[in-house]
Amino acid sequence: MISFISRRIAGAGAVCLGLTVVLFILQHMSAVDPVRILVGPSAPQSVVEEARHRLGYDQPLVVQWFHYLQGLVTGNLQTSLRTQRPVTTDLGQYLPASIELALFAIVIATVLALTLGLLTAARKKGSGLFSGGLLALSSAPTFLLALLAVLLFYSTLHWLPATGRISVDNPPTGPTGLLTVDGLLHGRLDATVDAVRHLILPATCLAMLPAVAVGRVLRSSLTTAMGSEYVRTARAKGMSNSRILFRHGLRNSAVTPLSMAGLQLGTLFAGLVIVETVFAWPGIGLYLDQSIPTADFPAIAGTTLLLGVGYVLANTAVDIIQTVLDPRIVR
Amino acid sequence: MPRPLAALATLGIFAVLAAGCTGGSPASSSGSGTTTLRLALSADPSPLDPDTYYEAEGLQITTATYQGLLTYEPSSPKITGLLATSWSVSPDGKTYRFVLRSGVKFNDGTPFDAAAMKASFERRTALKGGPSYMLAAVASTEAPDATTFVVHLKQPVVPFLDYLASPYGPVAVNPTAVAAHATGGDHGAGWLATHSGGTGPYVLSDVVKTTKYELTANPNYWGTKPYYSTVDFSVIPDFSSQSLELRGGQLDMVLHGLDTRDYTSLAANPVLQVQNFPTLFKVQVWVNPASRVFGAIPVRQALRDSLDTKTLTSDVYGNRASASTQFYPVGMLPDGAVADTWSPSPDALKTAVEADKGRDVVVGYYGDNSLKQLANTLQVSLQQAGLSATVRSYNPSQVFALPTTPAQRPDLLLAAMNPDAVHIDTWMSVYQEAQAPVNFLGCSAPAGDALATRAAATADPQQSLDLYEQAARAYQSSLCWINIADLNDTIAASSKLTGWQHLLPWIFTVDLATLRPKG
Repeated sequence: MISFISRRIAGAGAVCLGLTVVLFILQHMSAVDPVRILVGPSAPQSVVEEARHRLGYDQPLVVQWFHYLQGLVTGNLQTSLRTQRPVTTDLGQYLPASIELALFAIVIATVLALTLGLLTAARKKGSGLFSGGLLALSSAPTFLLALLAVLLFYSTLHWLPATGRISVDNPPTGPTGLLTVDGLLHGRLDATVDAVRHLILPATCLAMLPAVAVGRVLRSSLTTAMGSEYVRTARAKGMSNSRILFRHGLRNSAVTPLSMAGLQLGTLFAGLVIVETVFAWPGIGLYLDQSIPTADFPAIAGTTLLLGVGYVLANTAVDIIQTVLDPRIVR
Repeated sequence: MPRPLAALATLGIFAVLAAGCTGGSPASSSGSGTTTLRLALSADPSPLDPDTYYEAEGLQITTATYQGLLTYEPSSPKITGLLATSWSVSPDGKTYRFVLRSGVKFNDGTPFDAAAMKASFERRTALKGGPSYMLAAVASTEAPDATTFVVHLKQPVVPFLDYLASPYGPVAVNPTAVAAHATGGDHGAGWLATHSGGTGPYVLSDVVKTTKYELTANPNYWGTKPYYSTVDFSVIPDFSSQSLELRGGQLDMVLHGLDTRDYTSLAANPVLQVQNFPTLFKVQVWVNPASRVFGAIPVRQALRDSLDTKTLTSDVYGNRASASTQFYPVGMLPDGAVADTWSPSPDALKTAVEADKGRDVVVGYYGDNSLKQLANTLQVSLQQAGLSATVRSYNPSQVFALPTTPAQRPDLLLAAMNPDAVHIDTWMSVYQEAQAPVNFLGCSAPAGDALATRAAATADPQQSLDLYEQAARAYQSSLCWINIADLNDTIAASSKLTGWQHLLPWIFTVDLATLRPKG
């Protein structure tokens, strides 16, 4: 197992290195001028060139890449051209909001996927309607889904807020940066409830696509499992269907949906950019969205690396869980 | 058997919604007793240090917190004093003497005087930010007494007074605060990124990046105290969400970003209003001189003649813009000096591009949905003329790289640009001269360049203006730029607000200090 984990961590390092290469090549190929944006469009060329030299953008690409790697090793992701702050500081500020949103989305996606998988595998009455509805919602582009959700739940029903993380005065700060948790730790139930209300719409929009993808794989796995010999044996022994489904079917069907869940994290990360933009959610997706038009390369590279590392680590965790569920995989 | 499944299904469907069904309603609109004004920013502005800040988003904050020596009268090109009460210029155009306003204090109570203004000029030059070009010709400054400030230039700079009145021009920055917060030779730039040290009616009191910016009334403000004691800016990148929050009463104002249909709909709402203010924005078609189709002047002429700017402007912008009638923005030249109208001739282009029938052309656009709509309309016209036109959008980093990446230039580019100040030099030297930093497609007129250079070096105002007019006609006859419309600054707001004031070079900005509730 240790060797398995070591291999995975080494793989994560290689992925990060590869990501930096791809990012630098893309930056070099794209016809953009971040320095011009930094100093302002009307600034004279002399000011632009001086800033270019100061920032090292006049050096050969390989030298720039090497300097970036040097910084990366020491945790220095350079300074954002747009915010003029270290990228690590920016990411440290925006990451908790994205983590909180992603965690809520994962919880919602898990609940929806389990519901979809179990209902349809058990062919319960209404399961077709449920899966059809979910499929329709997941088929809509995320931005459209988000706008429709705002229109319905904010504008029409006035149930939920449309933007931001929290509305209460003097919200708790720290220690986790997750407002729902910090509210509880500070005894501010009002803050926690308000934070949850702000989370519902963006997290649900973010969860929809992964939920359906995982739910459909779970249904397929469950259907196969429920037709297997050990299930027939369990039925012959008089075990109830629900007991068979939860005790035997679900555990034996979990490996494939788990793989799919790991892959769907990529979808979830991609959705962060759109959802955080529509809901003005101050996370790394919004940070990335605001950095792209200004070609803020350090910010784009830092966020991409962070998401890449997160994706690799999460899939490593999925692999480990799979090996626990089915030790044959490690071989 | 059914119980666990039913419970799970119930959880799956209702867990998502249940927590939200606890009520809650949009906040009440301002202008009804509260003294907080709620606005939105569509993105985090770059650091709000006025000596390096050089963009549109957030101009509302810097103009409310800092003041310069001069300003413009509302919606007028006329320069007036702000921190200076009077000024004089030497006959050679190289020495400017300002008499400063007495009794002015920075927001922390530090008195404002000529020494502070001198330090502010020096700080701007030392930081070498984008707007520092306005002081590039300053040789030295003097503060002979507390209320006299003198600037010596290396050579005459005809638009110098306009630079001082520009929203990006030099402002008074509290030298005491700068000294107290300077670290590592940054002249206090790190601190001023999220704080303010100006003489304006408001103070930047709180910044939570990507979330909110808060202004509070400056307790030491020398002028009329603003009605609203607090102005909150939420960062809401999506304009649809901004619009919904304005309708829902959670915002009092949307500063920009909506399209014509949105504004029409908002204007029809009895609790909302839409205000239009004239600006220096020109919506233009930029012509690539290297284009195989539009390189020839007669084809450019035909392209221009084929455009019905009145209809285009009306269809795309409604009352957010008016069809262009002058070659330069309002106030830069006397009305009619370089008129820019023609009778549309829809078939002119078809005849002119007969030899290029079927040739591929790219129509680029840089800006919002309205420009995209214009680009699409132009694409249709070009298709009807027999060309194979495609539309491509450019984001800021792409479009501002065009002057140095000729291969990326489209055949035609639609963009709405505005200069830093009302003076014509700020348009010619930035957008039109051959080496201008924002001459996107590299099209220019050497005769115009020569005249503009002479005009900029001529101290006599009337002689300079005459030369600028000649330069303007040379640029116009090059047909490198085809004007479509003069764009307004359109702001949607609660109908309870009144006291609107706006300056010509401002964008996405109104005077917060004059706003108050009706009645």
